[in-house]
Amino acid sequence: MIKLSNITKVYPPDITALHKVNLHIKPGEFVSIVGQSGTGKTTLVKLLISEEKADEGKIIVGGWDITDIGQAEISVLRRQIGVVFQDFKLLQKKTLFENVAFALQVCGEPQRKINNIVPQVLKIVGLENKMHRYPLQISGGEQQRVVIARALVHRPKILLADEPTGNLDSINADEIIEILQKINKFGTTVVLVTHNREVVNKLRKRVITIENGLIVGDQAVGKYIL
Amino acid sequence: MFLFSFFRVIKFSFQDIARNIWLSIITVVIITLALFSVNLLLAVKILTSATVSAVKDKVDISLYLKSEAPENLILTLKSQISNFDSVKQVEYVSKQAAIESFRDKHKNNQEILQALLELGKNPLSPSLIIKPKDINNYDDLIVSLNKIDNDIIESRNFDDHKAILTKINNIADKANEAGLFVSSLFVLITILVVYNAVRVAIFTHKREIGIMKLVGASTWFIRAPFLISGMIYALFGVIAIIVIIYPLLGLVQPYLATFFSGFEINLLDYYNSNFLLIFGLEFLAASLVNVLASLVAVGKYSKV
Repeated sequence: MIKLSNITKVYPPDITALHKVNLHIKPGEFVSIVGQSGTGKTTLVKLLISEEKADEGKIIVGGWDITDIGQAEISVLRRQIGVVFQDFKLLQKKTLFENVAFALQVCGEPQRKINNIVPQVLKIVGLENKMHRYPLQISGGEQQRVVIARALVHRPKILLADEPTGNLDSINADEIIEILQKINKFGTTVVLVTHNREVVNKLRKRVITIENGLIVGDQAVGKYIL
Repeated sequence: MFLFSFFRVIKFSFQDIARNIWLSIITVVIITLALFSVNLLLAVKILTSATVSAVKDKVDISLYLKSEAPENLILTLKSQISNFDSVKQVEYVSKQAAIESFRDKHKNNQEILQALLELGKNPLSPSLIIKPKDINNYDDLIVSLNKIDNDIIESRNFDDHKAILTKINNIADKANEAGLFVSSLFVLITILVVYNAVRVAIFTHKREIGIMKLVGASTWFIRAPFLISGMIYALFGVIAIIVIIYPLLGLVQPYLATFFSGFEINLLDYYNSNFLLIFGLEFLAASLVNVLASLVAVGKYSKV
């Protein structure tokens, strides 16, 4: 599903975020990528959605070599990957319904289909009664659930969650992880980037540890070891 | 799919304008102020050109004829001059008409009227008043008039007119040059003000543009609502300027008519007869600046 071969990313002048990283994530896996701040976890996510380009190596997502992907293809790639960000990245001037619908609208889906799917997805994350509110009118945990709904709405094969619990209290964080597990059970590959030890240890799934841009650990049923 | 996107883009434009209503109002106000400056400049330009043309139109050449010249010869000469390419109109002022006009002009000056009475005869000569077709060909006309060999012509001294004309032409040229410079400067400032207003408006959407891009929106899908919003702002700006300009013109026109009495200068008429041209061009120009600013600004913030 995701294959990184010898990936190196250097930020000017000489900060090596990732060095010769090799990684293979199979379809349907739930993988946690852990490491301290500044070790290259977010760079990895950025490379997977082509927000950054690798300096060396090859990246394959869903059988598609995205190493040198063109500007026009980036939007196509992003429509196939669901992304959950730590800072939510919701459109503040759009309602929850419109935020989720936007991910379908950019794909050119007909309005009837959007009107049908969006309430269903918002129901999955428990926000069906708040769909006409604006992001600032709901809590942080609820905002993160909207982001998950938006990431799920076009049924992506891969869901990348970059520190999805970073801005949440433990109760909301547990809820978010539960939702991610549910999504994984339906067959979506989930890549969870986090430095939340408690969350990782509770999951008992594959854990990849990154330190100073290098993969220093890859356990099938792992724990947060740093 | 294209149609879905097209209608969505239009919907997003209106949504964006309504949900950022204060920003939209400020942008429209800036466009309106900029257009007001342009219209003010246009009005000044119209008035200057109309005044110079009116003054030029008042310039004519008087060809004085001998007192005893028979009328049939005068009329023949009139017809001969009328046939010149550079002549717009020739008016014959007979001795009688000249004295009547003189008396009328000095009706309040008893000394002059008394002197005329004591003279006992009409001292004025008949004349032909020639209006040139184009004041720039004045010299050619003088040459043609000087070439006429006719005994009934008493005087053909045109130098005074030439000096006045040179002055008028100089003033007109300088007014045009200054006008062009001021207009260019004004238009440049206006473009920069509107361009920056739109860029600032889009800057407030910087984060939003980035998010749209991360969710998978194509650059076109992000750009298009801003382009359409820009055109809607331009349209509202032009509508606002029409609503402001017309009452102002109605208010100012009577004063202009009094100030320029004797000249046919009517700003309101000019605006009425050139309505589509003036406001159509202003809409196109404002839209163009908005679209350009939107393209640059969105392009800058959508590199995610």
